[in-house]
Amino acid sequence: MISLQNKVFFAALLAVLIFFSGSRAFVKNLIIKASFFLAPERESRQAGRESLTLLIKIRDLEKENLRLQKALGVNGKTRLIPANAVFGGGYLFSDILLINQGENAGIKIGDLVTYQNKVFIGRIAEVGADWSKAVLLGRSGDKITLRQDTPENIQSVPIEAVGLGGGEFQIEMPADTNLKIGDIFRSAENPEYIAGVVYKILFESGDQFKEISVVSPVSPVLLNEVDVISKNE
Amino acid sequence: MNRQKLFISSFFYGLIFESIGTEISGFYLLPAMAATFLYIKLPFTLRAVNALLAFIFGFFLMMFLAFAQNGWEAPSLKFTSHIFIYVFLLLALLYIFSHAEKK
Repeated sequence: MISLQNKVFFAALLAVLIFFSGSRAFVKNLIIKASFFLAPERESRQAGRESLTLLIKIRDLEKENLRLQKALGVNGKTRLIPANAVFGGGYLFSDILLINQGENAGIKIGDLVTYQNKVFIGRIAEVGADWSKAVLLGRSGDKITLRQDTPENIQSVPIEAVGLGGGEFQIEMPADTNLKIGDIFRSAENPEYIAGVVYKILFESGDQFKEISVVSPVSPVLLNEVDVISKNE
Repeated sequence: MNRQKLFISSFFYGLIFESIGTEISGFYLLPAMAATFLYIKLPFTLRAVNALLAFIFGFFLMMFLAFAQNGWEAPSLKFTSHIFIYVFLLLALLYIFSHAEKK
């Protein structure tokens, strides 16, 4: 006579045997189903990794863009338009410079014309579709306010200069002013740009003023490329 | 080449500089026309003398205008050279044109 305890034991043993005999297929099935179930998650994880890589790349490019903009002195308010000088600035057409970019490139009347975004050359006076005419600094009779280039913590007094034509200005300064040939003057309106350098100082003892001649550091006739600084609207 | 043709030539010469240049209106055209008028009207039979006198007149007229424009300050050497070249070329053209007519 088999006791109840043994019956339970044998039943359990049988169940275990049945389970393990058919379990390979069952487990296989289970793994496949589980993998099917988990596969989309894996794909999404992979896609997530890819998008993360892209986001990192975008962030790096944005950083690079900002670095380059900073290096070029360009901010969101202004736009730098490179152009080639066609003619002008010489002895025949002395106070103008014609460039090969115009309205189509976004150039407007009054935009600044610079050399390498450092030296102020002139302003746009006329604009066509694919050309512009710049009036050079120091045009005969032009008046411009300049500031002497000083260390950052010292603010120099703005001085009015009169253009004598051919890129030359004349300034009158008190006789006790300490200036030497080669000193830099910046535009008071746009102090980030160099407007000219001192190349002649006329002073006779007893005079109350020194007559200072300032000339642009770059000769417009030798310019091939200029940068137009256009304000974004 | 008759006088009208000389006037028209100098008018267009002045007009080119007037439109491309940036000075006050008349800065190029007025001296060009005045120098041409003088060149035509001067009585010397030797045209070179007429041309020289017209050149001197045109040059000093432009210098006067440049002085006036600069608030009676002398124009720069480069600008003076520019005026010199402008008037010299004009008179050279007029002389060549009238010489061609003579031939």
